[in-house]
Amino acid sequence: MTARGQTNLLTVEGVSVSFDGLHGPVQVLDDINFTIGSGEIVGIVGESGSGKSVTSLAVMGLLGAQGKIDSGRIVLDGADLTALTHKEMRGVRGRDVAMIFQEPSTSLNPVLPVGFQIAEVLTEHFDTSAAEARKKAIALMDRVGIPAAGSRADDYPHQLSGGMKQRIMIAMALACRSKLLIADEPTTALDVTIQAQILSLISDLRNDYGMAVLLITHDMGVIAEMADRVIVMYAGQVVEQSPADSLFQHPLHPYTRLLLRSIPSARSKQAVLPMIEGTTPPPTDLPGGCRFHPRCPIAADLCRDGTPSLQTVGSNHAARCKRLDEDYSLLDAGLGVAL
Amino acid sequence: MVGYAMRRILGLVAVWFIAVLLTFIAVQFVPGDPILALLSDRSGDPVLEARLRAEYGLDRALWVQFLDYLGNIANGTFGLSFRFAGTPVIDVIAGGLTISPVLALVSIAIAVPLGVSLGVFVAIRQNTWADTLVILILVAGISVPNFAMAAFLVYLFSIKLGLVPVAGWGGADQLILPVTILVIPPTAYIARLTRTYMLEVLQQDYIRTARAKGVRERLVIYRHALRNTLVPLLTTIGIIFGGLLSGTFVVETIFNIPGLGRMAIESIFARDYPVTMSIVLLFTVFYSLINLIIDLLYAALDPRIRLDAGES
Amino acid sequence: MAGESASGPERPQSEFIIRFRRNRNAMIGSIIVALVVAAALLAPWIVPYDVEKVNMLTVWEPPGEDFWFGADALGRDVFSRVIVGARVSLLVAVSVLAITLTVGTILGMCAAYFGGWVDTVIMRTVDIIFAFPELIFAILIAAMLGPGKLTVIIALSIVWWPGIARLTRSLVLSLKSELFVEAAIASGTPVHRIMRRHFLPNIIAPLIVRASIGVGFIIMAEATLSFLGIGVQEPEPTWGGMIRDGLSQLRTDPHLALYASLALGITMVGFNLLGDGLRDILDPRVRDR
Repeated sequence: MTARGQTNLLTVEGVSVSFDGLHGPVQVLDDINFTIGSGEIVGIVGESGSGKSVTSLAVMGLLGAQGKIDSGRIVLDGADLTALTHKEMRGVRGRDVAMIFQEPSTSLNPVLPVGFQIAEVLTEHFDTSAAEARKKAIALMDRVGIPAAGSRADDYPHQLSGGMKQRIMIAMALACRSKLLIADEPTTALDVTIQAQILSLISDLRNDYGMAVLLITHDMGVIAEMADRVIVMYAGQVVEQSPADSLFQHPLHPYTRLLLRSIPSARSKQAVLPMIEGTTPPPTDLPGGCRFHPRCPIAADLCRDGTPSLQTVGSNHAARCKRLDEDYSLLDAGLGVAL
Repeated sequence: MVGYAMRRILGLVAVWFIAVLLTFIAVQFVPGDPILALLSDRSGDPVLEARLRAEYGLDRALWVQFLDYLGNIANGTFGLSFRFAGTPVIDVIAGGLTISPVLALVSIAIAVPLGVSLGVFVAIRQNTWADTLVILILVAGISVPNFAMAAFLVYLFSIKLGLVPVAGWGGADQLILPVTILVIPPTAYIARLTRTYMLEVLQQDYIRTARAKGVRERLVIYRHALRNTLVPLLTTIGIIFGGLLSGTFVVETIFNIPGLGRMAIESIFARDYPVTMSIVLLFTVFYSLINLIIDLLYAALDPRIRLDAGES
Repeated sequence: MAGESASGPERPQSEFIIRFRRNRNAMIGSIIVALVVAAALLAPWIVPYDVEKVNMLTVWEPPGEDFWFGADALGRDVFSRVIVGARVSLLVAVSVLAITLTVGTILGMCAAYFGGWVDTVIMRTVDIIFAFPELIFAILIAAMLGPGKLTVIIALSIVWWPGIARLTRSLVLSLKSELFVEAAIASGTPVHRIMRRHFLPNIIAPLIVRASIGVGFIIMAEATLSFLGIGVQEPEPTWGGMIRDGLSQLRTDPHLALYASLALGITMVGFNLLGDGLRDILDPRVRDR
């Protein structure tokens, strides 16, 4: 849709995922569909338990022994990842798709030097000698803004600050010039000033290398700053999907609207505004009808029976709500009363 | 690192001194007069008695005796044996001096790699029938004392099947059963610990990172996970070593192996306290040296420890 | 004391039972331990023969109708001696546990509460004892005091209390900064009362775990000392001593060594399974010594 996203780099098509529970399989993702164009930053936003992290792990093929993709396809650059063997999938991870995580402190191996941990990506995917890989690792550390990279390469993670560790993680992700970077809450564990630095680094890399980014966060503020397109998830489903500007100007789903109200405004940044009342239902105990209806301020009788489908409004904005046809002003009024 | 090592060595010297003091005090407490026991049928000979008392230094003040004891340790004779009149302790124990330490070292050299591989084997097969079965065997291996295990194994392999000698020392075939019996408990212990630590480490974020980088599963296990389990595992090697040293007492007794362990027990029955105490001392020194090496290795293996030690 | 804790532990207790029932290790272990304890308690009524009565007519009698596990070198019934052996083992274990839990918790609490030189003296002593392998220490004491049941109890108590003290100290140190303890200290509550009311109830679970693991260690250590001949002495039956006597006769009369080994082995497995299970249920943090 935008200038960048002419070709679809990643297509997630009807993906459902379940995990083995005590009493049989539990579905945690239900029919997820989205695409990412090359060089595009797509944000997935939702509360914990919405399925946003599972979505990223499904793309990475890291669901583990308990998790399984029940249906759907994940196509990266023309290749269906769900059809790959474990061994082939290993070759894709780190090379074609890279990932960084929420906690840089625990995401780096404490007993290996950071330079080695970056170099390892190269030696694992290419026929690179250890010395060559080390040289490249130092160059990468330099690229992500680590001062005195040559000497820091032999440091262990505990000798670096949180922000530096996240830069090391990004250097790893950059090592193979992956086409897609999945960033799962990359700034949540960091200080505000460091957050801004890491986000601008990610956006620089997109601009310099044309790397597409799947940005997973619960923070609408981060989305507003970074994303070209936004996917809102709730209880294992996509509830709204749209270009970022459209989403922020005309949010459709009541859940999205409530999320947007929880962004701290520029003036009152210190206040963590109350999130939406109630919690995301566990996948073992989903309500019938619209999954959001028990927490929805404008829920009506029709919301209780029959799952709403994702309806497209306009050219590229879609939402999963049965009350979309209603007058927007009424919806706003309802939300206004609730808040 | 060097400062840390120095402090540890100083602590070691303190432990040795206390061990020397304790063994000295222990001999003072021992019931009966060793010289009278030594004289036995010639106990009526006061000249001989006085000569022996002087030779053993028992006619001197207690603190002089203690200095003598220190001197004897320093010159390597460890004093005189009560059982073999006039013979330096070192000559009594010289024949078996290396047997117990070598047995313990050989056993740990087998037990660590075996236990660790077994532990990794079951950890990556968590909740399979192989896991359950191996855990059951491991519990038995840890629980059954080595002499009870010896009863079963000697009965089965030596007496019923005639595969290995019942006892003795010198031949390679005579080593098989004693070493097996020494190796089983620490192997089982290490395997179970490795499994626990591995399962914990495999849950860690950095393992997920390694997989996300596309690291081969074999390297995820051995380079990323196992290395992190080795650090806590190493701290338990000291305890395991203590158990092995105790094990040599038992195994040497069962299989008639002329090592220090059996000699210590024999000399208790023979009331040859200088020999018993010298062996206690040697084992303590050996044990503390092993623990020192482990502590230094630990600091070398875990980068986080290295820094802490350097700071404090 | 009873009144104030009555309301609290009710829920954790029932939860404990549920988790205990679900833990296979704990269940199997507790069944074995219950059988061993029952045998030990009921020994005087269930043994068919006097365990110390020598009978030259039944020397090395093989297992059969009269002697289920056969007879030993002095013609004594092995089955009876195995049963009474459980009694001796458990008696030693209970004595050592009682001594070490008392001494270890008191000294550990004092070290943590008072700090300073009290802490230094207690913890240095602990370090020194830890510097010796436990059997070596026991041999030192056996040589000093001469072999015997009391020697075993003293020797094992000396090597086992430091572990309890160290655990107690670390638990109390973390408790000391809790608000309710600080409040009690500030309001001038007497030391013994703080220890009894605030420390003890909060450290009891990890101590139980440590004790349950300790029983296995103590039984094993007693058996080892008795096996080496420096533990509990004849004519009192001990599993270690029986295995020692039986090993020399393994070729011709294996029953003595094998039945005694079996009894000791199963008991050890039982206590270790129970200890592991309790550790999983009560306190996943405490691992090994």
